[in-house]
Amino acid sequence: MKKTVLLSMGVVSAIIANLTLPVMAAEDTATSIASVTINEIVSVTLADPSPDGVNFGSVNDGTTGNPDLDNDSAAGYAIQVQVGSETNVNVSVNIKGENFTNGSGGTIYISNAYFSTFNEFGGANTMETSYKYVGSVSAGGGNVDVFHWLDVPDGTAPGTYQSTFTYQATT
Amino acid sequence: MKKYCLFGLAALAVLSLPLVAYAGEGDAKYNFASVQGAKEVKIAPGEVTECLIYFYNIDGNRITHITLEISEIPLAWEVDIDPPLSDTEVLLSGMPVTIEENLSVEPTELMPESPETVPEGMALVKVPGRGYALGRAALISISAPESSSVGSTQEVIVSAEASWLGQSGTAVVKQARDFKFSVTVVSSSEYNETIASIDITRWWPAVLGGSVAAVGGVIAFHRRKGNK
Repeated sequence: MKKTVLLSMGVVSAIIANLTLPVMAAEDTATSIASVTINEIVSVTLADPSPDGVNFGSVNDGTTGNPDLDNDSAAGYAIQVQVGSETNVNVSVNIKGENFTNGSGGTIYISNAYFSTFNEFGGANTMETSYKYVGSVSAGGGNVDVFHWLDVPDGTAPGTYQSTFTYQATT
Repeated sequence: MKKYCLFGLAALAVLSLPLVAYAGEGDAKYNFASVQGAKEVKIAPGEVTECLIYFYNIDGNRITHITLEISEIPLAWEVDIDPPLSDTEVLLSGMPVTIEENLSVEPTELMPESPETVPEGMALVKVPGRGYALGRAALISISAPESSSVGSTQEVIVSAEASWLGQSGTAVVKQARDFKFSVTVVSSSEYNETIASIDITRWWPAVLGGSVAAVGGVIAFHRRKGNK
């Protein structure tokens, strides 16, 4: 019976010890919070072999796949998207465009413009007024070559048409 | 004859110098470079927190004109951008042109060391692995209303567009980039901590009950063992 009482006291002591254990653990260790903010750096350069943006030159209506005059330049691209070596995040490059207008009511819809990362009109992507993915560059920098083409629908009124192509970098 | 050939070669060399310079000018580089500090910020209801975005232009050879606009903001919050959008007159090949922008960044040389002084209105940007550059800063001030709930996280997006003048082609090229800020509402900017104490007396019945049950179990076990 004495043995049983001793065993019971042991069980009770173990329960009490378990209850106090977390308190003792908290007293034994100390932590402090250290924080640092790392800046996000993104540097994107659009290299244009001729200083005119995208230029399809003088073309006739009813023609397709008219290339940017820089597509076949010595540089080897229409626009090169250059992501600087200091860029410390992965960058996705997207592109969108506005409809071409001539200032006197004439319009060439942006769906007549194309882009590709290869100098092959056959596999080129149609441009839209919302962003479309072009390519990616990992943190640490790199380049994406871009080529452009334009279809001019039959019956398009003569004149000088202009648009804006926006290259977007997302991280 | 040799004399004439040498003279011809020298003349060709002299004539080719401006051509090299022209080729350098012809290759346009439109650079849009940014440094965003804290993307995750804290704010107390009714208070203002400030964030900086730096812009520099070391890889370009054209002036970068930047517009900034708030494209996402929680209801009843306020975001101010400094410098604000304003008209700026620039001389483009001698012709005065008025453009709307928040700020512009001229191409600058990369410096191997930090300069002793920074010109007024400019900001010094450390470009990792490359050196230092002079740029410009935009201050984004975010204000949370008194009613904003503590512990909630809201998103503020500032959209930037960079453009360059003097492009005469069919399509002008621009760049766009979004700067996102994740803003968490905290109770106060001052340190404030309260221990929500646990009333241990509430647990004594459970502890005692458990202990009694354990003792009873042990006694019962031994009695049964003794009977056997």
